[in-house]
Amino acid sequence: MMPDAMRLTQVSENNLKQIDVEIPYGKHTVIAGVSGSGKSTLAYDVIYATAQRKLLDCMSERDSLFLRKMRQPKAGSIEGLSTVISLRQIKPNHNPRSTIGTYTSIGSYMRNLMALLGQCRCLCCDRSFSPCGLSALVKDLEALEPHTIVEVRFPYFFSGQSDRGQQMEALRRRGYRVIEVNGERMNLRDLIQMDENVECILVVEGRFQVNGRLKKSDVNCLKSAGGHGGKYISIELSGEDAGGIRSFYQKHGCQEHHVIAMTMEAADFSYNDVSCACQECMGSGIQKIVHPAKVIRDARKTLRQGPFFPDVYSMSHPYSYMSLYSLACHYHFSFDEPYEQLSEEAKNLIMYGSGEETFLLQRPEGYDKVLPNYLAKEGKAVRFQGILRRIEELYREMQNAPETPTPAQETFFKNYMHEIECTSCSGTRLKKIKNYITLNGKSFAQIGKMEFSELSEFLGQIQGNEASEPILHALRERLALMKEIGLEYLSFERRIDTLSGGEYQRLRIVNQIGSGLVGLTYIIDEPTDGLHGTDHQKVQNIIRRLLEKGNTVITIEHDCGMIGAADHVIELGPGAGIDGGRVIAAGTPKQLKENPNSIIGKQLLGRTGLRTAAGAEPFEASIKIFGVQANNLKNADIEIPLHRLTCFTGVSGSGKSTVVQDVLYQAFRAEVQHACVVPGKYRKIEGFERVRQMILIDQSLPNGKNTSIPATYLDLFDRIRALFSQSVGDDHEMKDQKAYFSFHSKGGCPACKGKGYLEQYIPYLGETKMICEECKGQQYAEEVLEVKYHGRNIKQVLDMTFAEALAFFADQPKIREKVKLVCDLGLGYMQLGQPFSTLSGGEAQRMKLVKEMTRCRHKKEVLYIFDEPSIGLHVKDIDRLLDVMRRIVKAGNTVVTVEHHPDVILGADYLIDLGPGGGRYGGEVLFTGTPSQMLAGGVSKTADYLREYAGNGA
Amino acid sequence: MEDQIVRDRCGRVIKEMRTALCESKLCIAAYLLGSASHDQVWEWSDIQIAVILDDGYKGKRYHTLLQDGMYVALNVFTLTAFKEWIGTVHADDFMWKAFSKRTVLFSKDPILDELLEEAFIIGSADRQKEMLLAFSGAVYYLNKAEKNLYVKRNLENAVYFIPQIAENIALIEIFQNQQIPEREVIAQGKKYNREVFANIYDPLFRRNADEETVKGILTYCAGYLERHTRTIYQPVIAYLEEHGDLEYFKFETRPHGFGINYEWLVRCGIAERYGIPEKIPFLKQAEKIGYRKAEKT
Repeated sequence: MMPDAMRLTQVSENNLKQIDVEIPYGKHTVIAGVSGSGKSTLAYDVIYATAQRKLLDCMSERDSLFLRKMRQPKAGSIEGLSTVISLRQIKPNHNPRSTIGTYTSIGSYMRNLMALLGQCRCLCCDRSFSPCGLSALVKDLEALEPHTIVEVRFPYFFSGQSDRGQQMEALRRRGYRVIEVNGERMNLRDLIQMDENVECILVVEGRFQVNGRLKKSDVNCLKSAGGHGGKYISIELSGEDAGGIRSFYQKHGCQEHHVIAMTMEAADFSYNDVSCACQECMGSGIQKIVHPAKVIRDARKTLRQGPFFPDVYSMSHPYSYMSLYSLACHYHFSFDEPYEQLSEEAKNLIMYGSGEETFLLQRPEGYDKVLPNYLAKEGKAVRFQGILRRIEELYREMQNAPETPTPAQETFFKNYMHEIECTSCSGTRLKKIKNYITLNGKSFAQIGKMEFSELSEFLGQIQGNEASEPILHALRERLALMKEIGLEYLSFERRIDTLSGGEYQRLRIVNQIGSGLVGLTYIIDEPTDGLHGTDHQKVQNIIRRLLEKGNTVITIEHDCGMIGAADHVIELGPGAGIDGGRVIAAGTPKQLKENPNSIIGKQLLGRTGLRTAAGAEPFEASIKIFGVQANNLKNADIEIPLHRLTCFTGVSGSGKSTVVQDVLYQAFRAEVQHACVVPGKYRKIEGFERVRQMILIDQSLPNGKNTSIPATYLDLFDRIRALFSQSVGDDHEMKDQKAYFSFHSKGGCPACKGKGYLEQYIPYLGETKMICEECKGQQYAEEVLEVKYHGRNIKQVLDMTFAEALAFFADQPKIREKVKLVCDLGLGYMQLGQPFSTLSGGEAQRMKLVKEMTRCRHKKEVLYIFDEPSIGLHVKDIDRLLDVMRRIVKAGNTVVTVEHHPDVILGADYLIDLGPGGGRYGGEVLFTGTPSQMLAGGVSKTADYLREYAGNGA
Repeated sequence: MEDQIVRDRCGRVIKEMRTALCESKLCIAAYLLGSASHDQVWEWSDIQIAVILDDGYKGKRYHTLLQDGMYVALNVFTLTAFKEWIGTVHADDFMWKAFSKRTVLFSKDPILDELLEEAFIIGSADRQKEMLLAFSGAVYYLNKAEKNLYVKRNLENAVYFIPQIAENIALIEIFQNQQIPEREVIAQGKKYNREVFANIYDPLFRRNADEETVKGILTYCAGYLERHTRTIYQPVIAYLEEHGDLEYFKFETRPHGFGINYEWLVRCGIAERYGIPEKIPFLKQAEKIGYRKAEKT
């Protein structure tokens, strides 16, 4: 008889206390409990790790040799496991070529559809025609009257970035000699004068005479022209049979301009194919340029005082300084007026240079620095290259240099350069010719920019044929899934690295459903994170879809709605760390409600102690941002009160993070701190004079090595190592030698260099961590581990949770203070030595908060910005987080947070709700006011959700 | 002296080869190159034939045959490769020079004949480049000859460099007359400017090649080059006049040439040198050479 569930017995991994667990097949099981209760340990360190081991066991003998190096989870028995797929919230890789289209296969389907149903437009007029196959073309050419001369040409589009002369020289070097510009023939061997407005020319690939059957070289000529012209060619026929020639043009392409397109393939729309990709950006869609704002150090300074980065245009560099002065003299703008007051024309000259125009090098009055004799002398004609042009030239030189750039060079350019859409292809990544191929009037690039909801409608209007129907069906199915999971505001050309962790995770779920695999077990880590409450139902629906395909789904969740909708719940607890690790209840949500031991059961019955901020007090000071137009914001005016806890709400993609991070934070950095950053577009900001400092605490991992740990990040480890080095005898070689207690330094295991593991590539599993056999994962050399402080060695201290450390370091006030703050933020379950690479976005964010709070504890007028700090937190811990935030506000500071969690929203002083939808449907301010006002009269999805939530709890 | 027997045998071999190649369906055209095409043959002459085949041929590109006791060299091209070669070939290419004196054995493709005709018309842009390169070549050998004569006092070596100066001057003459150089450029150049070669070669052949004579020849060559400087360096000088220096001047020349000799402009007093700071990892301080308009011009 087939087992009906996975059975795990006597599980004692980490803090789990010999628990027995059953996970039914084909059902949705939620593992719930307070943060640190052991949820992730059960799901990942036991179930996922065991499945990985078993999978490896089935493989070749050589691969299974790695098994002994992989740690075996501590469990009595684990039975009935299927293949497990983990869908954690991870940040996607930073590769501009990785898009939603490539990731979900939607791009691939669309390319196939374009190839099958795409219509070609003439390059000269709007006439559209169907592409024709090479064999049909050859057949019709062979049918022409003998001695007909065929000239084959292909279109060539000039790139906007390179010099035209160089582009023509490149054509010449490829062996082309004759071109046609607006009907006029020119020879590339001559000096050519061409109108600058000409975008496209025809290049003659070759000529041949028809004489019955075409020669192989003639067919190759057609093929080659098609390849160079992106499947577009122009055929000019000359011969006596005018009727035959006319009917040839009638049959193929544009009759008037003799433009013909050959049958497309899916690869003809791939930007990873060199022959299709934009020649400037090579398919990345971006180019790096210097932004003017990034080279201005202080716009209030005059040119004489040196307002720019880098320093070369200051007095200490005579040639550049004198060139700048001469430029000012030549173009009659002031050298002693603040840069910000100069005319736009003057600013352009400084930034982009004087072009070919030369002027005499002059010395500013009173400036006596000697001009090196190798440079142009005074009175000599010079040109000013422009600050931006100069840096860009240096950047290109660095890129073209055979040597690898030094870190210093990379940092230098990183400071000044930013990515913009490629000006040659306008970010479409493809050659311009591809815009002439359309599907229902839209090019591939235009389709790529459509939001999925729009794309869905667009595909609905397409008349398919037998060949295209399966593709259309697959596309519709994927787009329906996107809608179902709440990602309909995305488009398939959007870069993967611009997605949030939550969006990426949901995308991976869609991919899994689309893959059609059955009988798998999915472990999904908090799938509702980053989602508006109204979208939780969508996640539930998508999980149902996975179940319908015969899969089993395990989620780690805090959200009551999700827990209530599950088939089976395993509640771990009751506390975190050593107080957790027990199954306090298990069963259906209904059974949990009836179970007196279950904390979640009580929450499912109704939220207790719902806290709504009382403060409807009017605020005295605020920051006012006028005319925000960054991303999807629709000229919004936003007022953020100071000395309050303000919460930005709204559905995903409504523009919350754009306002807070791209506009508010970056504008402060640019305007007050004069940092080299470019904020999102806005008209005006008022109120920065009341803010001394602005600190962004987002979900990115803190800077540093992957091997960083909380103890080092919070500057605790130095003190702990000092305690150990002092605890040894005076004659001990480690006396007062802190370095011995650092696993990165002297004290680390020499085999694994203090990592405790070795990374090894295992076929099918990729880079896998193997326990170091030398130190058995202890990271330290044996003699270091012999040293004890209060009965524990350094490794045992690093393995301690912050909750344990609170008691352990009770006699060390400086350590205790920080440890307590970590516990106050609900991170008591974390270990002092836990690698940062294992931290979730929410944990990383709270860790940064601890650091900032200890750093600025005595400061006032600081504005803290948070990005969903409640992620990964249990309801109980959210109350703690709110308390910390209130403490910050009470101390005279301001907190601005982006949030979806109803408890945080209701606990805020002031709400700013954006929406109504995501993407182009969002970007409007729907509501501003207190939570009570929103509950009373707010009209938005957030208001409805909050009312429902509050009503449930009431 | 040309041997009638050799000549007859050569004619016979060419005829046989023509017939055999023409019969082949794969063969589109055949051209006779070298002495047999445009000059007299003797016992050590070979018969060089360029054969154009339709695409698809993957065999050897060069065959040496023995036909009726004669050495026959076949250069094989596919049509597409041939067209590509014609488009990219440089003026100093040996085969290209050979094609300039071709005789059509047969051609089944009239378009190919047109293409070959067009290939030997030099464009104004190419002409400018080639003249600059030939000029640089002449300056290079002139410098060598002058050093040997004036510094090393080695008259013999100085004389060796004179024909090389003359060859480059011949190239200048040929390009100036909008022609393509053939294999024997001196003879070709003489057609356009007999005087210049008379001034270079006549003193060598008709008088003793003493120091005075060689000095006279080199002075004449330098004078010739000076007289042609403003014409041939026109794009460089125009830029220099407009911008004051050549720091950003770009002029693409073909590979394997001498490049543009800016030093000559310094010698003529048109430009002067100056140093531009350059970062070189293994040198503390370095300056790259720059050229700017000379003070006195």
